[in-house]
Amino acid sequence: MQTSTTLRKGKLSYSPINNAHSIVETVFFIQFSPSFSASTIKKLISVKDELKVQFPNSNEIKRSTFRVDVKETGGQTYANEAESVGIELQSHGADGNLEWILRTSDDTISIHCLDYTRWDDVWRQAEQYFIQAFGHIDGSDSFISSIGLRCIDRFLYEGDPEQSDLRELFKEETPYIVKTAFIHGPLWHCHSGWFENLDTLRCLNQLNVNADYANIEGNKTLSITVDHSTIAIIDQNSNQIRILSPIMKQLHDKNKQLLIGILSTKMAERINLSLPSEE
Amino acid sequence: MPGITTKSTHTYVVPSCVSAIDDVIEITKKPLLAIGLTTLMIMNVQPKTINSKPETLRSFVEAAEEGQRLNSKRVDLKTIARIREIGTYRDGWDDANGKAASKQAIYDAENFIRQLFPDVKEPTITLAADGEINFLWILPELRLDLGVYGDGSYSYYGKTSSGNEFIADENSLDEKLPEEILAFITNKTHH
Repeated sequence: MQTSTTLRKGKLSYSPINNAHSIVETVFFIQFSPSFSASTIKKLISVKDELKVQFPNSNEIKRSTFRVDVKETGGQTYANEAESVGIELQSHGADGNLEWILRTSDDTISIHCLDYTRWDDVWRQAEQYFIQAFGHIDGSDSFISSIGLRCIDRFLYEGDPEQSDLRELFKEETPYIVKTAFIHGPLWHCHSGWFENLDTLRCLNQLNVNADYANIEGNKTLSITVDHSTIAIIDQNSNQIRILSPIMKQLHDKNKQLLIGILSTKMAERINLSLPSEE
Repeated sequence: MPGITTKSTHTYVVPSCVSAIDDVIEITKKPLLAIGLTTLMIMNVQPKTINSKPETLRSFVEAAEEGQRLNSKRVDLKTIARIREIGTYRDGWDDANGKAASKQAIYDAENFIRQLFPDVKEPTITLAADGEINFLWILPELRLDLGVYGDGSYSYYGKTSSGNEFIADENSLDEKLPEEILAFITNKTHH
C-alpha cells in the first residue's frame, strides 16, 4: 500500500443534498382501473395489521363529501360524509426521519422510500411491501393500468446564489433544461413531459426541474430539485406481481439515462451514476 | 321558476397526505355564494387530480418528502460520500503522479463498506497514489489498514494493542472479514 493523502482537487460548488447521494424520495406506484371497490379498500386497509412491525404508524385516508344546498329562500343545508378510501403506513429512522411510506388510495398503491441506499436493496424491500398489499386485492375486479416510478433528486449550492454557475451542475447542451435557466439568475423552473416507448409499452415521462431556496441548517440555500416521473401504461388485464420487477428496473434505467443526460460529468461522478451498460 | 344547477367534482389532498376530500356541490340558485362557502370549508387543501386532465398530465403520485434532509453525521452517509468524493479525483490529484481511483474501485469500496452498515465504526478513507482506496481504523485496541483495489479483492493488515496481527492479501470481496476483526470495528455484539 502506498502513502495516502486527502488532498482535494476541483471541488464542486453544488453538492448532493444528502452528501452521499442526491435522492430525497423514490416513489414506486401502481395504478388500477377501475378504482377499488369498497370491499377491496377495506381489505387493503387491513394490511396495516400485517405490517405493524415494519410500519408502526398508520393513518387512514378519508374522503369527505361536502354537500351544500342553497334554497330559494336563502336557507342553506350542509352535509358532510367521510369514508375511508385508503391508508398511509409510515416508518421512521432512529433520528426521527421518515424512512418508508406505504400508501393506498381508491386506485393506487404507492411505496415511498425516503432513505435511499441502492436500487437493488430499495426495490427488493418495496417489492415485498407490494407483495403484502397485493395479497389483499386478490379476487378484485381492478387491474393494473400503469406502473410508475418517481425519483426526486436535490442539489444544494454552497455560496452566493447570484454567483452560481449552473453549468457546474447541468450540461449546458442538455435538451431537458431550457437555455434561459443558464443565463437569467438563480431562480427558475422548467417543467416538461413526453411519451416514449419502453419495449412494447408506452411510457409517459414528466420532468420538473426547480431552482428555489431551502432552509439548510438555518441558512437560505439555493436548492435545485430534479423531479422525474415515468409511467408505463399497461393494457393487459393482469395483476401478476411478477411483471413489476422488470418494468421497475426499466423505469429506473430511464431515470438514470435522464440524469446522465442532464447532470454535468463531474456531478454524475460525484453521485456514482453510470449507465446500466456500465454496471 | 326552475333553479340553476351546477355540479363539479374535484379531488383534493391535504399537504400532510392523511386525508382526501371530494367535494360535490349541487346548487340550486345563488351558485357563487355556495361556491364561496365551499371554498371556505376546503381551505388549505391542494388540488390533486381531476378526471378531465389531458393524457400528458396523467395522475402522478404525491411525494411525501416535504424538504426532508437526512442526518449528514450518519456514518453510512459520511462514508459513502467520502468514497464518492474520492471518485471525482483525476490523475495527478496529488500534484504528482497520483492515479485516479478506477470506477470499479469505487464500486468495490462501496460494496465492501455497505456490508458492514449500519454497525461499522467510522474509518478514515483516503486514496493512495496507486489508485487504491484505503480504509483506516485507529481504535484503542486495534489499528486496521485495509485496501480495495478495484479488481474484486481487498487486503488488510491489523494489529491489536496486545500485539496480535491480522493479515490478508487479495481476499475476494465476497469473503467476509473475520469475526475477531468485526468485533473491533463494529458496534455489533459478536458471539
